[in-house]
Amino acid sequence: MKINKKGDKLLSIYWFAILVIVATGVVIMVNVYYGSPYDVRQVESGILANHVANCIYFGGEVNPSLISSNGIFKEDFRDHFMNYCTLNFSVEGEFTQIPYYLEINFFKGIDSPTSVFNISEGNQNLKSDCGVDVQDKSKLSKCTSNSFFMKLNSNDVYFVKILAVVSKVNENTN
Amino acid sequence: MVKRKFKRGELLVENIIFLVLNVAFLAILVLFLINQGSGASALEDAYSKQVALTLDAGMPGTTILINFQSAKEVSDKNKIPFQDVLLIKDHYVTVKLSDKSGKSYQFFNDINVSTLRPEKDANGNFDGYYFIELRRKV
Amino acid sequence: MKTQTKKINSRGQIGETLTWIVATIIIVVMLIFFILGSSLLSGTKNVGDTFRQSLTSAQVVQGTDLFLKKSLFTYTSIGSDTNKIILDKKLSKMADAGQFNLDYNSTKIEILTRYAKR
Repeated sequence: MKINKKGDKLLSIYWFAILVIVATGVVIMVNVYYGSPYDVRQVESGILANHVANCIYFGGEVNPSLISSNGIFKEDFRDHFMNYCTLNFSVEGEFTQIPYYLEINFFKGIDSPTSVFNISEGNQNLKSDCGVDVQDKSKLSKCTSNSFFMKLNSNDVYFVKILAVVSKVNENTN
Repeated sequence: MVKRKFKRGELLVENIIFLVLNVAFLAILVLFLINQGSGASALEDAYSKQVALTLDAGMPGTTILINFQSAKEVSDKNKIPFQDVLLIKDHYVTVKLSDKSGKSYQFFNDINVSTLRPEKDANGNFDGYYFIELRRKV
Repeated sequence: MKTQTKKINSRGQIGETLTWIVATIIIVVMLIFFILGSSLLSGTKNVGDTFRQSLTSAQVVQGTDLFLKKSLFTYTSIGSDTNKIILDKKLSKMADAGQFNLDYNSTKIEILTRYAKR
């Protein structure tokens, strides 16, 4: 009696086909996980905001280059803000956009709605990414908006609002 | 009467081949997974960003010692000299663990990285740490 | 003349094939499930403001809030009591709106204790 092993051979081929499907699935899983880079932009924008805040108001003292004792903001601070606050946004490559945006607004008093002095540096186009309400925000810039109160020697209180935006979409997303 | 020939020997060989191929497949899969986990690309991404953020948060007068031991294992395997693994230039941190890959990340702090050197142990071999000193830019 | 027709009973083959089809479907569905899981896990690579000790931990290690501390230092150093009250109300409002990473009241006590005497 001949044992018909044709079915066995067909099963073997099919078994290896299943192994190939499983292997492909595992490779896809691994690539999906390890292929995605770390997204550190939220932390980075937070560090940028902290850096600027420390530049403006540190140890209970307002930066003397920012404002005079009689409460007049110095234009020179705005013009050379990057130097005063040791910041450098320059990028490699001629057509590479600056991946940072900073905006600082100063309001006199505790509840004043009007800004008396403002500074902005970097790529202004990134500001529009803040406050956009979509499901997938990974391709948008990351924004940190923080504020604090500072006091001059004259006892005047100012409210400072800092907006720090970091783009760098290619380095932080797939 | 028909005599049955039990081809036990043949069936056993087939089963063994089948099992061996399955084990080989699983072994290759596990090796692939282990390789991906300690892959140069993932480590370069993590280290370049870690160093860039550390520099961003650093203040003049700070000294930083960063553990690059996991990176050193990969760079040694890929025959990249350890002193070439970390490069900080023009506000970009570059980490290179193999010939074919490398990751750069920009940092915004306009600080002077006055010292950047791989640390050595008592025998003069690289111990996997990088020493960084920050100073104010003049 | 009698002709014998042999019926090929292929019930076994059909049964076997059906088993394999169902098995394949189950394997493919499980693979899709695991691939979706990996893509969700890759989302944990977002390094945000807070640090979670493990994937399943709901606890968060709180850092520091530089902006709250600066504001509270200003509150401590204000001479005018009226301004102090207004600022305290404003900061409480901001705390209620969730604008601070730390607890407002406990941080206020900490700052007042540290700096009020100076």
